[in-house]
Amino acid sequence: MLNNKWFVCATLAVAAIATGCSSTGDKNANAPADAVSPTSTSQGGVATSAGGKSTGASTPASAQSIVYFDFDSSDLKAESKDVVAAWARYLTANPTSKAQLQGNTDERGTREYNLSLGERRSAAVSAALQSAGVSASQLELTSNGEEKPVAMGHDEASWSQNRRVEIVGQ
Amino acid sequence: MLRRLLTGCLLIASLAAQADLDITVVGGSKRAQPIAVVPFQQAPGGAVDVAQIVAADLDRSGQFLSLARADMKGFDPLPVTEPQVDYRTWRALGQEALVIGQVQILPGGGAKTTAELYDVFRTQKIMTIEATATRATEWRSMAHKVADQIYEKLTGTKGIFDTRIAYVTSIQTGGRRQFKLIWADADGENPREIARSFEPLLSPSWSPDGRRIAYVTFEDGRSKIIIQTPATGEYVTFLGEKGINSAPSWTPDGTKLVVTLSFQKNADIYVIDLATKSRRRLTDSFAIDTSPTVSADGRTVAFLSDRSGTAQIYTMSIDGGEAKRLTFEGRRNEQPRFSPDGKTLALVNYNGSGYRIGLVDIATGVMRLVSDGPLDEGPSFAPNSAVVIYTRQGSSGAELATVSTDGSIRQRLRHTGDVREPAWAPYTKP
Amino acid sequence: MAGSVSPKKGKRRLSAEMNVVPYIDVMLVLLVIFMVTAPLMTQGIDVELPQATAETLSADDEPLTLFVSARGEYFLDAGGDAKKALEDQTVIDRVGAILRNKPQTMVLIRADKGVKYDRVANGMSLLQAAGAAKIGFVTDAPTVPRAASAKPERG
Repeated sequence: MLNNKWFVCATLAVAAIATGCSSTGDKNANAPADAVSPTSTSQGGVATSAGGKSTGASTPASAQSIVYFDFDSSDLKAESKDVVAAWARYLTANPTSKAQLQGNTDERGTREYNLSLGERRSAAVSAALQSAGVSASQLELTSNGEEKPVAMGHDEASWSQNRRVEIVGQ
Repeated sequence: MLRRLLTGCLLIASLAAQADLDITVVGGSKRAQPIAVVPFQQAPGGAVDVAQIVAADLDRSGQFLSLARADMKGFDPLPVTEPQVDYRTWRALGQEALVIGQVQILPGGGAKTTAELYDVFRTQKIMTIEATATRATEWRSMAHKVADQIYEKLTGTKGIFDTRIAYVTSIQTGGRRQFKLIWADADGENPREIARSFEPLLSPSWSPDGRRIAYVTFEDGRSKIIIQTPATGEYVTFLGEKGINSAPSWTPDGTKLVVTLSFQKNADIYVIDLATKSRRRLTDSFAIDTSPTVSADGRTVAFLSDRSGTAQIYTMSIDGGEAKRLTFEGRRNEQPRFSPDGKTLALVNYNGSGYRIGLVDIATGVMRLVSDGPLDEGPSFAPNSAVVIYTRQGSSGAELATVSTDGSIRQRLRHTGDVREPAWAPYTKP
Repeated sequence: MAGSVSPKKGKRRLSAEMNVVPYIDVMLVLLVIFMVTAPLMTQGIDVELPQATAETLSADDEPLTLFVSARGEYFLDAGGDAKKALEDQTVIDRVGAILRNKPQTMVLIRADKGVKYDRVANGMSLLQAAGAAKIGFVTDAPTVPRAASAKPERG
């Protein structure tokens, strides 16, 4: 019995380390490169309505506009620092410009909870931008919950891409 | 066994031809009760074959196995009235119950069904059943009412054949995903559209009288709560605050809506009066509070909160006050739903490996898991409190599933594309 | 023991004749036993008979009987019309339906002694077409001695 317990703990620990490694590996690989195409396609509908206002030239590139999160977490990760910094620079330099922070989650958990979790994630990005000097009036927070995934799979590789906040200039 | 499979296949085929929602019984009762539903005496030109719908309903419940019509062929003329009933015949056919009847067509397309239920072994009549339709479109409902009465007499549980279910479908069309909120009869027939959008539709919730439905839309990318009367199509945008407007749930008296709003910085539960729109804030925490549900007596609200660090279910008086934690089992518990009889709370439980539907006995606090996971959510009770419908991830996308509260009988409800967010309508008051 | 036996053997002369008296004793005892038990055994069979008939009458094992009249017509004791002669196809439909829904049903043929043999054979093939794997025959003959043997029991 005791042996069993130790075995289970050990297996879980190994599994946790393994998934931890693979997921961070995925994110490092995916965030800058792969994220470009899914974002631009998924944003098609919104971008057309917002596109007119954006000042294109100085807005950070779309690859620089996605902040990723861990499962059921709204804590900003160290690797997101550059994205936040780039947008903070742009928004403080253009005080009349605005940005929409769209929070998203993976499919796990209920839709109603995820709607709130998405909002909490956009609030976390908003707080980081504000602490970097951006005015609250420049930011609009929305949440899509788990409704707008960019990767349709049912595995960690897809989930890690879907747990995100997209920063869309307006 | 083979026969069971065959009838199952036939059932799917016949439904597929007519309806969008395909229903399969995947786990019937260990011993389904054999019942013979003899074709009712019915003048030609009736809207539907009433006895066939009754038999299909009983089969779909998983608790009955109706006698195939082909097996009645040799016994012509089949009984229509009591003196024609020969118990020996039905005993020889292994049947335990027998239903006979006649359908009288009324002027204006309506009809009246008079049916009789017999106990084959005790050789006696159990009950006489009457159901009427005032229009041709109500014939199916009339047949479901007959099946409901048979089901209740033989099982002791109220039938749910003459009820309706709302659900959201999501179909990829030309590079875009189209969402539709649909309501259909409990057998998947007669689907009618409530709303359609290229933005997600969420959280449908029926008013206690079954006449109105509240749901969440994302037009302009922002959530709003709509209240609509499906029969007429009339709707109002009830709430469209800054931030989240979600998870509407009705109080049992139908005068208030309990919702989640985040315009005051963070998702909290509010009670909104439908007539005056006056709002009362129920929770005030830095945590996420959402998915409220009101108990059958209207006094308690259960909701999800992650104030402890992970999502768990809490209860609170509808007048406010202290929140009391209800769930401690599993890593997370989400989306509580009170049963209409007030005895059970359905929820989504996460134990580290998957999300499954759990049922908490409110009196004892004991939780039982009744679904297999790994991504089950959105439980909604049937109005008899004996069946729960929920969303599961099937092999070809999201599908609906039902499970009896004892866990024994299961159905799968598939639809083209994804189908999810089920909401079982209450018994409509006459 | 062995030591005490061998000297005796040496003293006595061997008798060439076999001693059959014990065998006769045993045989007589056996004879008496058989004589006593034989009537008891036949009584036992008679007592069990009524129990057996009581069991076959229980509702669940009700057999299905195809009657063949002297004129060669078929009748079934299921369907509520035992007096109506049935078409061949109706016999197949009915027996088939019953066996599909209650496969353990016993199927019997009860033919009039005056009926032509080919009508019985045809009846059998109908039952087989309906899916009956085993068919029992009921004849009128055994009912007479059984009734006669039942009488002394009461007396």
